[in-house]
Order: sequence, then structure tokens, then C-alpha cells
Amino acid sequence: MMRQLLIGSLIMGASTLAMADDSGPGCGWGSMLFEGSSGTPSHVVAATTNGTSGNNTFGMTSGTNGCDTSQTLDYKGTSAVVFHNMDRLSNDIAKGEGEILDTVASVMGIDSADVPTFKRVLHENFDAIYPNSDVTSDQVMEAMITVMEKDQSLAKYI
Amino acid sequence: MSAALSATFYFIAFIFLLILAPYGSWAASIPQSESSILNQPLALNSAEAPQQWLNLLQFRPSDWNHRLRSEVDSPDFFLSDIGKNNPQAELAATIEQLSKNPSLQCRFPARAQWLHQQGLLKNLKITSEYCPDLHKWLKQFKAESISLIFPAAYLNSPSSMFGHTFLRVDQHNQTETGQLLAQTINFAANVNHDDSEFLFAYKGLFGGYPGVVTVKPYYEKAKEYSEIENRDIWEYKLNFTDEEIERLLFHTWELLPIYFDYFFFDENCAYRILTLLDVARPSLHLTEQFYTYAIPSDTLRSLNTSNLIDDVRYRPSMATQLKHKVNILPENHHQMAREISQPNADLEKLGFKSLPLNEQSAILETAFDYLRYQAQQETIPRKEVAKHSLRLLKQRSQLPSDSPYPPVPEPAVRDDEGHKTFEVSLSQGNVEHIETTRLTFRPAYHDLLDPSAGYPDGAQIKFLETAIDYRETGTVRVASFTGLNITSLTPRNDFFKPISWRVDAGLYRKYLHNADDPLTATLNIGAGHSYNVGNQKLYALLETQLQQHHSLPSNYSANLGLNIGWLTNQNNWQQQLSLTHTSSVAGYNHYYNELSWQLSYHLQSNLSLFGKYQVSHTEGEYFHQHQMGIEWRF
Repeated sequence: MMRQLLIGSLIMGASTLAMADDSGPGCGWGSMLFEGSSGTPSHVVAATTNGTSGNNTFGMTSGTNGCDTSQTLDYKGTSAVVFHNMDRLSNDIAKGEGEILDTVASVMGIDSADVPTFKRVLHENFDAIYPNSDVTSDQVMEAMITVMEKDQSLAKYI
Repeated sequence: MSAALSATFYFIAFIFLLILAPYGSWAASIPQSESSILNQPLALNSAEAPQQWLNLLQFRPSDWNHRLRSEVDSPDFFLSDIGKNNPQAELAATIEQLSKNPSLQCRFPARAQWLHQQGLLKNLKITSEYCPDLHKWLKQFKAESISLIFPAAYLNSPSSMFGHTFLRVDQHNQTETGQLLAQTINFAANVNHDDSEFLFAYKGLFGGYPGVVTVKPYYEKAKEYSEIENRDIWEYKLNFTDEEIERLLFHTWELLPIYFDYFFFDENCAYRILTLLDVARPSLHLTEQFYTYAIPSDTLRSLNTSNLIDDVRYRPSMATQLKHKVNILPENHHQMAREISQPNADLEKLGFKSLPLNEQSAILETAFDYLRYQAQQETIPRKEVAKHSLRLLKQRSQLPSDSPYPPVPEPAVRDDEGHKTFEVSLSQGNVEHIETTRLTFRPAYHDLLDPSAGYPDGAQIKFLETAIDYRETGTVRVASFTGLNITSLTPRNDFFKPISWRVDAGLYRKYLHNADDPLTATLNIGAGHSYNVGNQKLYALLETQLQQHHSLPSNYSANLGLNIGWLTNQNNWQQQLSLTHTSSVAGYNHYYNELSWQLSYHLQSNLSLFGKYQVSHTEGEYFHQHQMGIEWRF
């Protein structure tokens, strides 16, 4: 019993403390890159409480971080996945493989037979999808659609 | 260095808060079965029934007076005015109002369903026709199974050893790649980011922020932990039936609009998740096992013994993936990968383009991950990062798509499979020529000389460790008391440059020149570097030390010191050699040197033999002690 009480006052329930993003407001790829902070002070504070993301930097609620998320493009929910994984998606497309790329393929309803083509086509068109570091998630989405439309076996998913 | 100073500040603040903490319930004990209060006048038809009603209302005996109360703090969660403290009244009010006003069943579907099963509610109206909102919400989960998600400790923060747990609702036909799309159920403090960091820590500890249930896609949660906090994640698939999953989701729905006072010590995230599991399967009685506290890794142990776990998956963090790549990348490419990660890197000049394509891929991938890591650590300004990142990715996109790196292998020992956390040890030895038998209690958590499997490398947390000596002179005395000791000896290498640090607050025996050894209040804060060479770890920490005792000349002493150490970590044994020199800068004018050597040999993960030798040197005199004994962890 004593053990329980003693440990009860220890640090637990650690989760994210979202630090203010010092790269300033903006929704471009560059400003959404490498979100968050894992410096020592934030560890210590983060360990004390378990913050929810009602209004933190990766909240998708519109206006909180300068990102308008009333997405005009949806594509069965793909936009949200792209928006939340801007960083990893670009990395996956550059390598032509990865979990986020697989997830996007799954949300877009790509048949498993076409998934390798999907990955290859995006990989080959990296420059078209990410022309500069200010590209927004909507623009990434749009460019992906454009690239897919031009491919025989992927056009049917648009 | 400002980061280390700031960390120091928070640790002092933290220790201060711990001392002030309202323990309140030292003598609390689990009361007799609460079920008796529900026996009359309503007949309930199953053994688990009364407990399930308490589960559904989030009732728990108060720590202070053992009276039942619900931990929900929103009045609209109760249909009776006295419902928060009276489950019987709430039961009567619920039966009455759910019968009279069936649309209220849509607000409390788990209660309605349970009352119906107990024969206390005639017409159950929680179909999609009557409750479209509820069913629309349920539908988004496409629920097929539930996984418990446990993010492990931070790379350089032993305090996060306790982890955090939440639930993932896995979907029908969910492929491995579909995991990220599944929704999670999470209990968290709804913090105010405008509060100062100190207030943030204080409110987090003492319930100043309301706790709420949140539902979010797993890709958001996985990102928080594996990319932003660099924590590996363990995913435990639980073997709940469809009926149990539905009940869990019904109850989650009931909790969505309400709040709990988030009380950090015990009503934490792990505990709240357990209440959901108990509602799903009342026979588990998980919350009773963790009456006053819940350490997530212990929670997992108890799920294991309840045969609730079907399958376990591992999701390495970004930092773990980078480490893995660094280990695989041939050493002659390490420097190039580091140089290429720098924003001003000139790939042509570095001779990168003349390498074989697969080597180029390997270097680029490591360089990109390293750039990401440095941006997170803020060792490279973010503004410079974006353009260079894109350059690296473009370069990588021109190479063939096969990654040269295999996936990160799963650790052999999971976080919940490490040694247990409460330790008792008994030893025999000699302290300054007096034969001494020593009994030591350590309620939590992990010592550097405990088996390291399942714990982060170089991390130590000791909490309230108390050593009592019985001496041949027939006297009994406290040999030492550690309030809190957190040590993080995270090794530095070419790629990772963490600061090692230690905070130690307690009462320790300090030898004075007159051979007196008062139990001196001591606060020790140190920072430095450590390096791994194979299984050996070398470290050096600069320390500041404050000591207070009335028998010290001038009552106190403020010291500066240097601690160097050598730690060997083998599967079944460990040793630590430590040498400390301190000199006073204020108060009692003296120096103090200490050499200690410890060895522990593990018979099993929870049973070890140990030996310790220590010599202290101050004011021209030497003081010796040694102990040999046995440690048991449970």
C-alpha cells in the first residue's frame, strides 16, 4: 500500500507539451517541418502534465496556427492525412516508400496491385509535388492529383 | 547551457512541489467491497453488477475518508442532484428518467444498456434510428478491436519512464498500413498554453487543469510521440469481444462532454484508461489493483496477467530510427552524412556524387534524419532547415527507391518486461569499524546497477529510498534517505550530443573531522557528458552541492565538485566505480573526497547479490565502509 502511495506522487502521465512554433505562422511545407520541441526544459515540464492539443501547434482547428483547414480538397479524407504528415510524406515520396505513403494510398482507395505504381509515380515526380519549401498541403494534394491523372493506371482513382 | 539551467530550475521547483504535496492518505486502505451499498432495495442479477454501476459512474472511494464519490466533476453527468456522492440515488434517478424520457438514453447508452440487461429498464432505445448522433460517432471507428498504446521513455528524460497510455480503436480489415488511420481514445489535461511554465507544472500536478477525453486519429498521436518526443511506442492488441468493445465506446461517448479535475498523482491518464477497460470487461477489476496510483508499465504487467493481450507491436521513434541508421552506415561515411546535414553543405565538393548510388542513398537518408533531429533539438535554426531539407529530399528522389536500411529490430525486452520496481535489500558489512546490518527499501523505480533490460540506457530514478542500520553497538539509525535521485547518463557520440545530468535530494551521512557523521540534508545538481565504449560507460559531471546540518561548522556548506565514473553493463552483472571531489565555496570550509565501488550480480531479473566499498577522505582523515548483501525486487 505504501508503495502505491509513494509512487503515486511520482511523475507520470507524460505527454506532449507543444511549444510555440518559433518559425512563425504559416502553413507551407517549410514552416510545418519538424514541429515541436524536445529540448530539456520542455521534457521536464511535459513530464508533469499531459497536455491535450485543443489549441497546440499541431491542432487542426482553424486559425490557431495560421492554417486554414477548411479544406477545399478532401479526397475521402486524404487531405487531413497529408496535412498532418507533411514532413514524413515528403520524406516517403523522396524514398518512394514508407508508412505515410502506404497510408495515403489506403485512404485514396488504391488497389494493392496499383500501390507500387502509385509509389513509383509520386517518387518520380517529387519535383512537381514539392517545387519549393513554401508549398502548402493543399498544393501538395493538388499536385499529387495532377500527377496521378496523367498516369494510365492511377487516373481512375481521381 | 541555458537549457541545463532551466532544467535545473524546474527540478528544484519539482522537488519543492513534491515536498509540499498533499500526501493526505498515508494510511489509506482499500475499503471492504463497496457492492453492499447497492444490494438494497434493488435486486441486481449478476455478481459484477453493482461494481459495474460504480464503474459506469466513475466512482471510487475517496483517498481521504473512503466515502464513495465519482471522479467526474461535471454536474450534468448525474441525473440525481446528489449523484456525485450517492450511486444509489443516481441509480433510481437514472431508471426513472431514462424510462420517462427515452431520448436521454442516447446521452447515456452504456447506462441504458446495462440497466436493460439488469431488467431495470424496459425499453432500450439506443438504435441508430433514435440516436443518429451516437451511431454516426460510433461508425467513424469501424471498430473491430482495441489496442492499448504505450509510448516508452524519452531519450534523455528518465522522468518519462512512467510513460503514458491511451487506446486505439482498430478498424475492420485494418492492414498494417491502416493503423495510422485508426482513432484513439486519450485522457489528457486540457492545458492553458498562456500559463507560465511554472504555473503549468503546478497546475498539472495539483489538478488545476480539467481532464477531458479526446478522440483523435492515431497518426496525430503517433506523430506527437515518435517524431516530436522521440519515444518508441509499444502497441498491445487486447482480446475484447465485440460486445465489450461496444460497451467501451458507449461509455467513452458518455464521458466525451464532461471533465475530471485532472489530478496528476493518481487520477492520471493510465488510471483513467483502466476505468474504460473495467467498464468493457468488469471481471478485470483493474482499477482496484491500482487503487492509489498507476504506473503505466505496471499497468501493462497486470494486463498481461489478466490474459488480455493478444499481440504486441513495436513502433520505433525517429531518434531510434536515426540511431539504427547510424549503426548500420559504415563508419567512413559518418562524417560525410554529418557534413551533408549542415545547411551550407556542398555535395559536389564533398565527393558525394562519385559514390555508388546505394551508398549515396544511405548517406542522404541518415543526413536527412540527422537534420530533422538537430532541428528538433534546435541546434540548427529552423529557418535554415527548410530549404536544405528540400534539397536533400530532391537529391534522394533522383536515386532508386529501395531504401538501403532494413527496419529497426524490436528490442528483446519490452518496457513492461524489465525488472519490477519496488526493491528491498538486506546487507551485512562494516561502517567505520562497527559491524552493521543494513535494511534498505526503495519504493521506485530503477537503479543504474539494476538489470538494464527494458529500461533506458544510463537512466536512474530512485524515490524515497531509505536505508536503516542495525549496529553491533545495539543502536538503530537511518544510514541514508534519498528523497529523489534522477540520473541521466545518455552517451554522446558523433551524432548525438545530449547533456548528462543528475539531481539528488536527500539525507546522507557526512563524515566530519571529529569522526561524527551527522545525517546531512543534501541537494546535489550536476551536469556533464558521458560516452559509451562497448558495454562500458565513462562519465564526468560538474556538481553543485548544498548541505545543511546543525553540527556542521557554520551549519551549512555550499560546495562545487567533480564526479567521474566508470560503469560496466553486462547481461547478468554490473559494476560502477565513482570518484568525487568537492570543495566548499561558502559555509563550512572543507574538502571532501569519496571513492566508491559497487558490483551487482543478477541471479534473476528480480534477485541480485551486491557488494559495495566506499572510502571518504576529509580534513586529512579516511573513513571506510563496505557492505555485501542481497536485493529483491517485486
